[in-house]
Amino acid sequence: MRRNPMPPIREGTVNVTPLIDIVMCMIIFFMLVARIGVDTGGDADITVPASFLGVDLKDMGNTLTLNITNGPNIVGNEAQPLITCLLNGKRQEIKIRSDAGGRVTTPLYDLLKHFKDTNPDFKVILRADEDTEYRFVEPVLAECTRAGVNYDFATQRGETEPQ
Amino acid sequence: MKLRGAHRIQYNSGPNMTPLVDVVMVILIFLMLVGSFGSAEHYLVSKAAFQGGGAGRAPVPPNYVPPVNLVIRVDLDPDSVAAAAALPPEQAPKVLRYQATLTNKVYTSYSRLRQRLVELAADPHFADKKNVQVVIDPGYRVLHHQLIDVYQAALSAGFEKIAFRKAHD
Repeated sequence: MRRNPMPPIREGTVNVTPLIDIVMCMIIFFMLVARIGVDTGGDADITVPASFLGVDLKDMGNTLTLNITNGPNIVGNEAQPLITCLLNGKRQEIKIRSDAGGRVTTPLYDLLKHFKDTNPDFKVILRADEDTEYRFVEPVLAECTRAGVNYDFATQRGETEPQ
Repeated sequence: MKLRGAHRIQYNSGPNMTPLVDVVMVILIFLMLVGSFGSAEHYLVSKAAFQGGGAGRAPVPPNYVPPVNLVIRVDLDPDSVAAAAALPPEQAPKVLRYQATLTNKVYTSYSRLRQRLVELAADPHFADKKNVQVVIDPGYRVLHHQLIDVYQAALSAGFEKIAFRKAHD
C-alpha cells in the first residue's frame, strides 16, 4: 500500500502561546487585586491632610465615610459643617441639627445611632478637608462620641515627617 | 521559470488565536485603566473619645479610673492670623501657622513639640501609657491639618490615647 506521509508543518505566523499565557496571568491578577466600582463615598474635591503614621484599614465594610468641609459663616449661629456621606448609593448632605418643619432633629446622631445599634463594629471615617476649621470638625466628633461610635481620620500618604 | 514550492499548501496547526488575543488584550487594558489598587488614603486610628461637655460627653463606665491627662493647647499664631487677614479668603489658610502650648511652654514647630513629648513620654509620671491621655485642646479656628500634625507628634512620641477637647475661643 502506498502511504501518503503528512506534509511538514510550516508555521507562517508568530507563536502567540507564551503571549497568551502571560496575558491570561495578568488578567487573573488584575481581576483579583483591582477594586472596580467600589465607592466609599469619598468626595474627590476634598484634600485630606497628609500623615506619615496612618495605617491601612483591612475592612471598610463596617465604615461610613463622612466628608467634612467648612460650613457657612453665620455670626451668632452655631457652626454647622457641610457634611456629606454615601447613603443608599447616593451622596447626600446630612446635618448635625435640623429645624425643618419647626421640629428640631439631629439627623447625624440618629444615623450614627442606627448604624451602631445594628452593627456593633460600626465606625466612622472622617474625611475632613485639610483647611477645615476645628469648630466645624468638633460637632461631628461630639456626635460620634454621643452615639458611641469610634472614628478614624482619613489622611493621604505622606512620606516624610513634618518639620 | 518555474518557482519551486509556489503551489505548496500550508497547514496551520491548531485554532486561530487572533480573536482570542484581541479580546484578551482589550480586557487587560480595561482592567489596568479602570481598576484601583492600594488606596491612596490611609487612616489615623483614634483610641480615645472626644471630650465635650453636656450631650457630647461619653458615658462613664462603672469603676472608671480617670486617666492622667496631658493637655496640648493649640492656637493660631497671632502674627500669622494678622498676615492672613490681609489675604483673600481662599489664600488665607496657606499662611496660618499654629502654636502648641505644652507644660506652660509654647512650641511653634512639629519637631520641637515632638521632642518635648518624647521627653515627657520618658517621664515616670507618664510611664503607664495605657493610663495617659493626651488631650488636644484646639482653638475654634485651628485648621484640621494642623491638628493632624499635633496628633502625629503625640502618636510618634509613644502616646496611644489622644483625645480632642471642645473648641476654645
